[in-house]
Amino acid sequence: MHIDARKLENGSIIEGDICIVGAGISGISLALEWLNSEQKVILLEGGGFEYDDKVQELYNGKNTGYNYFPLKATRLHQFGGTSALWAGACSPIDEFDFKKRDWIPHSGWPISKMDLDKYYVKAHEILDLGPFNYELDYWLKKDPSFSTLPLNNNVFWNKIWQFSPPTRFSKKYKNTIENSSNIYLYTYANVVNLTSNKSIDRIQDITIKNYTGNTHTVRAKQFILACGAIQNSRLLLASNKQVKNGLGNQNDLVGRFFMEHIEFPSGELWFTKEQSMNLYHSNKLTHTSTELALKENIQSKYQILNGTISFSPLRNMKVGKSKIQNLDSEIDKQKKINLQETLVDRFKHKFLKFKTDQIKNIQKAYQLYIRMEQAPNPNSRILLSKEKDSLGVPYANLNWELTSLEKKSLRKIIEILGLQIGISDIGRVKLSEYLSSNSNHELNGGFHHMGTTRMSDNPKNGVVDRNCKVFGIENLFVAGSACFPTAGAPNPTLTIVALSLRLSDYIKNLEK
Amino acid sequence: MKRRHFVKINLLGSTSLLLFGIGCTSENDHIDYVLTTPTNLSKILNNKSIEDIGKKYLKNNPSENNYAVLKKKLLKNIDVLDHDSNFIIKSLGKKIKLDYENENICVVDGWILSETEVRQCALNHLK
Repeated sequence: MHIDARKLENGSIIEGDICIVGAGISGISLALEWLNSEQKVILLEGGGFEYDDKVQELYNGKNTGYNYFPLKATRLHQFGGTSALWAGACSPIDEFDFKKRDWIPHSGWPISKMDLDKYYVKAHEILDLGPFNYELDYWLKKDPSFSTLPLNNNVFWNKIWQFSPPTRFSKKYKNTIENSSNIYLYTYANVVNLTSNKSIDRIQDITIKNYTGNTHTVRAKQFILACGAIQNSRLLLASNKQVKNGLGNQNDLVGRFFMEHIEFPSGELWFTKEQSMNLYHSNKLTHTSTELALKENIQSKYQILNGTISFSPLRNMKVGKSKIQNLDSEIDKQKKINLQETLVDRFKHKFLKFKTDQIKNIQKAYQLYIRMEQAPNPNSRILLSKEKDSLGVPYANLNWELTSLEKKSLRKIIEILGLQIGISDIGRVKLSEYLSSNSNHELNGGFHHMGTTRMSDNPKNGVVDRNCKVFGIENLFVAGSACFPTAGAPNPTLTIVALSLRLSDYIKNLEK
Repeated sequence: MKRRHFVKINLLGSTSLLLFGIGCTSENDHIDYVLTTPTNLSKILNNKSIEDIGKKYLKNNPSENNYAVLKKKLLKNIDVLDHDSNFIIKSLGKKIKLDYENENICVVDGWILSETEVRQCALNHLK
């Protein structure tokens, strides 16, 4: 069922069992879990079904730390959320991402990958992915042109990615939700405040507003914040009428540990011979691609962050311009004497071959793109601005901060690849200018916001517990990547959905 | 010895010596060529880039800024006597692989290179 909150009479009271704030990937995945159940689910979306700049403006804010994208442009404020823009790349977080790693302060999840596995399976259905199978051997059989790079498999492993079409939640799930008899979707329903009881251990109601000026109240048994890591923490911090520091913030942790994925062109790989790279490119038949990842013991040995390497063909192929001095051991003395002549012939041959190879997708030079977690950092955080949006809520300020571990890890990952490529004798690796210098060139994020209400077993170290419940507040939960204690290397969408499904299971059990 | 016979012998001897000399020079040239040409890197970079890498390496390692010193280091543990250029290429290849295995690498111009092949670049610069 759909209700446009702009058409509600001022001061309306909306009541239900479950209130989900945010109808993006996480919020919709959660709501669908109660489809056709006895529970009345109130799904609140600040925007409408289409882009509305006035609503998007509510996501504005300032960047006060490391250079970052304008906050208004980093997520979508409409039904379906940022799924309207995502590329669809999915892969689960690695098992060792959940572990405490001594060299990464604040690392470690209170749950393990096993706790998520069954939800990953279901998340695959929601995101229209293939089978929940990320075993290399399984995918190698799917396409005879797939072959792995000849690297030491005690150092590197091949991490499979799967591609969603990509699923646009606004298209795929709109009718289901509109036609549902128990899911009440309210569009243009922006949450501006959460009100707790006097003892601040239970949410009583929340206030919603839109730019018509009308204000309404929502009451429910359980409340779930599912509007992204920036907005979730902003709402908790801004709900500060009863508690000065905001709700759930008794240990000054709300908004802290904001994380992004570092996505950075970190180097080049030049092969000396043709290598089939089909496995490592997006494949239309299998809807997969593969990236190189470092084994756990190697990350531990070098004390670095978890990251993966992808390969993009270099457009400017320098091979065609090089003087190819081929000194293969098979060259006999006669050829050496006529070296100059031989080289010219070989050059011509190679150049022509290179042109043909381009068509066959077998090329010799690749840009190395690293996608890597950032180290959890309490100083990397969301704060409230003094300026308020048109609905009276302070804007978010993002103070994105990195540590020295990010650059060290990026460089080391490329160096390790350089060593392994050298040992395999198939080419050479070049570090990007930034990584081979001391400059402070800007790193990029991947529009992945994580970690502002991190999960922990100890309220002194996290905002939510292992079930994503806010410490100290019995009926308030946070869904999605805001709960991630560490980011892992892959894009977060698949894990966001899996974690949301796990949360819905937990709440269902509470309701029994 | 008749004068004509003496001239014949002398001519033969001189020619042999000349040919032997040419042969020696040619083999030495081949060895030097091999030493100044890092095999795999040459498939990727042109000679100017290889020379630049060598120049930069020598700037940071002035004690090696000498042709004979570098050549000696490159040929260490490689028996050049009774072996042709192919043997030296193979031996250098083994040294390069070992460098990578032992993390004996140099980063020059961003390239992650084995110590041996960077020395080859340096020798290329000095030649």
